[in-house]
Amino acid sequence: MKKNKFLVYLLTVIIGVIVIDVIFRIIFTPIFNNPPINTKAGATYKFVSYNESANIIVLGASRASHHYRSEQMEDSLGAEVYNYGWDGRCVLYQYLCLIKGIKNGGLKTAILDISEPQLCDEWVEERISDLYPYYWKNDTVKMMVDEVNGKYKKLLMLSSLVQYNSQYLNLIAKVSDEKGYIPLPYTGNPLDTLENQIIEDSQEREYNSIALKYFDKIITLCKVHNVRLIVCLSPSLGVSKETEKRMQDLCNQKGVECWNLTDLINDPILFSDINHLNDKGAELFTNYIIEKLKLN
Amino acid sequence: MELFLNLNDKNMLFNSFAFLLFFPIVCIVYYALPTLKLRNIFLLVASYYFYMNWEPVYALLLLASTGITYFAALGVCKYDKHKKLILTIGIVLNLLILFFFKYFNFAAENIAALMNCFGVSMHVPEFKVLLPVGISFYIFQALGYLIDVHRGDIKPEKNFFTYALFVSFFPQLVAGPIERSTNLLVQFYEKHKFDVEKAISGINLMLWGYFLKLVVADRCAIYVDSIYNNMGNHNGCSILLASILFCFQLYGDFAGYSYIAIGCSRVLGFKLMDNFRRPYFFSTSVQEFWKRNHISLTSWFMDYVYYPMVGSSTKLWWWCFSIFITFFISGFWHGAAWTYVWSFSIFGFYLVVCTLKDKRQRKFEKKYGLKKKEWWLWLNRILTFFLVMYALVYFRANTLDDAFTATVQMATNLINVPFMGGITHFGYSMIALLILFVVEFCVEYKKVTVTETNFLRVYILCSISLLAMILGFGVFDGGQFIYFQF
Repeated sequence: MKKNKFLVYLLTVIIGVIVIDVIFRIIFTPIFNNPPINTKAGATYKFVSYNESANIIVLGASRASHHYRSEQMEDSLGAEVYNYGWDGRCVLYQYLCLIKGIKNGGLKTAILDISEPQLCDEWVEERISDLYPYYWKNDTVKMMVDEVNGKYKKLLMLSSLVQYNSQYLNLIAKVSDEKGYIPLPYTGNPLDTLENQIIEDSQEREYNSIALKYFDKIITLCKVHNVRLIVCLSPSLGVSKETEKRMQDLCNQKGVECWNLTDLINDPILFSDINHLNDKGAELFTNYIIEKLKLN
Repeated sequence: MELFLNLNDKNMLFNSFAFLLFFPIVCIVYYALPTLKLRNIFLLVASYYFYMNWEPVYALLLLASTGITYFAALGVCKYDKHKKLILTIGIVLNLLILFFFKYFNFAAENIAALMNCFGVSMHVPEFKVLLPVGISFYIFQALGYLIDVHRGDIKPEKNFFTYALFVSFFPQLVAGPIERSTNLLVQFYEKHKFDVEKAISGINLMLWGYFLKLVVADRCAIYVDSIYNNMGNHNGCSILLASILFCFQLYGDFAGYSYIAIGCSRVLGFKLMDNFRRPYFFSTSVQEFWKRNHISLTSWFMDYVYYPMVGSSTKLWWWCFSIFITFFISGFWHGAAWTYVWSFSIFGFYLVVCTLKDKRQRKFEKKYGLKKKEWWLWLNRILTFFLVMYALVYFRANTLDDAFTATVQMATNLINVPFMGGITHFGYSMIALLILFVVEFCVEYKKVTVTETNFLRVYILCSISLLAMILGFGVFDGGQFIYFQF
C-alpha cells in the first residue's frame, strides 16, 4: 500500500511536469517562431530567419553591432549590407550568421569584427543558449548545440521547458536597430570616470577549442563560397598591444586578411565607453571602412 | 546544462548527471540489502566511491583522518592517564593534514612577504596540489567525535567500518552539515525501513535544494561575477546590487547543498541536523543570523572553541574576546585567504558589539514595547541584512584591495545608474528571490502546514512546481558549489 503511494507520487509528478511542458510548447513555440520585432528575442530570431540577401555582412559581438553603420555603407558602396553583430555573441553565432548570409545569396564580403577574448571564452555553451528555441527549427543550431553540449543534451532538448529556459524576458527586452546597427549615445569622455580606465588584461590565455574550431570553420566556409573574409580589429581604448598582436599573428597563421584598426580613433569623446564607439565615432569609422573597401 | 548531462565529468557534483544516476542506484541497493552490516558496508563503499570521483588518491587523506581519530578515541578511553596527550596528538595530526593541504602555500607566501618587509629575500617552495574537496568538513567532524569521546559525551566506536562511514557518509561528506557523533553515529545502528513519507519529503527537500542552487544561486552569480570580477569598472550602486545578490548566491549555494544532503539522507532513512533556518530574510540581529546560518559550523565552533575558551569566566571582556577569536579562527577555516579572515573578523566585531549592547537593547525594547511590533522586527531584519552583506563583501572579493575598493565605491559613488548588462539575468534573479521570499515567509510564519491528509497533494504540487521551475529557469552550467573549496 505504502509503496503504491510512492509510485503514485512519482507517476503524478512525472505526468504533471510533462503536462506543463506540453502547455509551454503550445504557448511558446508559435511566439518564438514569430517573436515581437525590436525585442531581444526578435533580434535572435533574425539569426535564423533573416531572408534578404546582402553583399556585405558584418559579423561579431558588441563592437560589430555598434561600429558598422549598415545604411551608411549601403549608401556609399551601393551594395546591400547587413550587420549581424550583437552584444556578447560568440564565434558560433558568427558561423550561423555566415551560413545564413551565404544561403540568402549574393554575399561577396564578410567583415568579422573579433577580439581575442571571444576565442578564449569559457562560456560558449551559455552564450548560445538564446538559440535553444530554434534547436528543432534550424539544422545549424542543432549541430552547434549538440556539439557544444554533448549527446545527452539531446534528451533534455525534448523538453520545451529546457528549450525555452530563461528566454521569456527576451520577448519583452526592447532593442532597436538599423539593419543590425545599434547606435550608442554620446556619454562624454569615458576616461574621465575612474572605473573606465581599465585596460584589458594582456595575459595570454588559452583558446577555447570550440571557439577556435568555429573560427576555422568560418575561414573554410568563406574560401569554399568565394567570400572575401576580413578580420577587423575595430577601435578601442582598452585593448592591449599584446592582445592585438596575438590576434594579428593568428590571422596571419590562418592566412586571413586582417585589418588592425584599434588605434584608428583615439579621441575618447568618440567613445561611449572604453570599448565602444558612439554614433559619431561609428560614422567616422564606417567612413574609413567604406574607403578601405573601395580601395581594395 | 553540461553538468546535468556530462557523464564524463569526473566530479560527482550533486547537480551532475552522474549523481542523478548514482543516488537512485544507491537507494535501491541499500534497501534491497537484507542486513544492517551489509547496508553499512555498502554505504561506506558508495561514500568512498563518491569521494574518489574528485581525486582517488585523496581518499587516503579521508582514511588517514578516520584512522587517526578512531585509534585516538580508543586510546583516550583506554589510557585514562594519558588521555589529554592522546587527544592532543589526535588533534594535532588532523590539523597538520589540514594545514599541509590547505594552508601551506598561504603560510609560505605570507612568511616570504613578511621577510621581504625586513629586507630578507626568501624563496619558499610552492606546494602544487589541488585542495582536497571537503577536507575542512570531514576533519572537523572527526575532531568533534574525538573531543566528544574525551569529554565522555559518547563512548568510542569499536567498529572501524561504522566509524569510517560516520566520517565519510556521502550526502554530507564534502560540504556538511558537520554532523555530531551523538546524532549520526547512533543512526548507523538502526535498520531503516523504506518510509514513503520520509522518502517523498526527502525528494522534495532535494528539489528545494536544487532550486536554491540552480535557480537562485547560479542566476545571482551571473550578475555578481560580472561586477566582482571587474571591480574597477563599476560604480557603487552596481557593487551594492551585486553585494546584495551575493548574499543570496551564497545562501542558495550552500543552503541548497545542505538541503540536498539532508534530503538524500532522509530518503535513505537518516536524519541530519538542520543547517539553515532562513537566515537572510528573518534574522533580527547578527547573533540571530549565526543561529540560523550554517548552524552546524557555528555550533561546532561554539562547542569546541568558544565555550572551552570562556570556561567559567564571568568577565564580559573575556566573553567578547573569545567571540572575536572564535570568528577569527572561523575565517581561517573558510579559506586560506585574508579576505575570509577579514570577513569573519567583521562578523566577530559585530557580535562583540551585539554582546555589549544586548542588555541596553532589551531594556529599550521593553520600555517602548517594541519586541512584538512587526515594523520594529523588519527594521532590525533590514539592518541585520545590510550588516551581513557588508561583511560578505570581503568574503566574495577576489582580493582585499577589491574589497576596499567596493567599500569606497559604495560609500562615495552610490547614487548612480547601476550596470544592467545582463538585464534579463537580473530580472530572473529578482523573480527567483521573490519566490524564495514567499516560500520562506510561509515557512517562517507557518502559513502552510503539511498534515497527514494533505501530505501527498502538497508534496506532489511542490515537486511539480519545483521541477518545472528548475527546468524552465535553472542555470545548468553554473559550476561547483562554493563551499566545496572549504
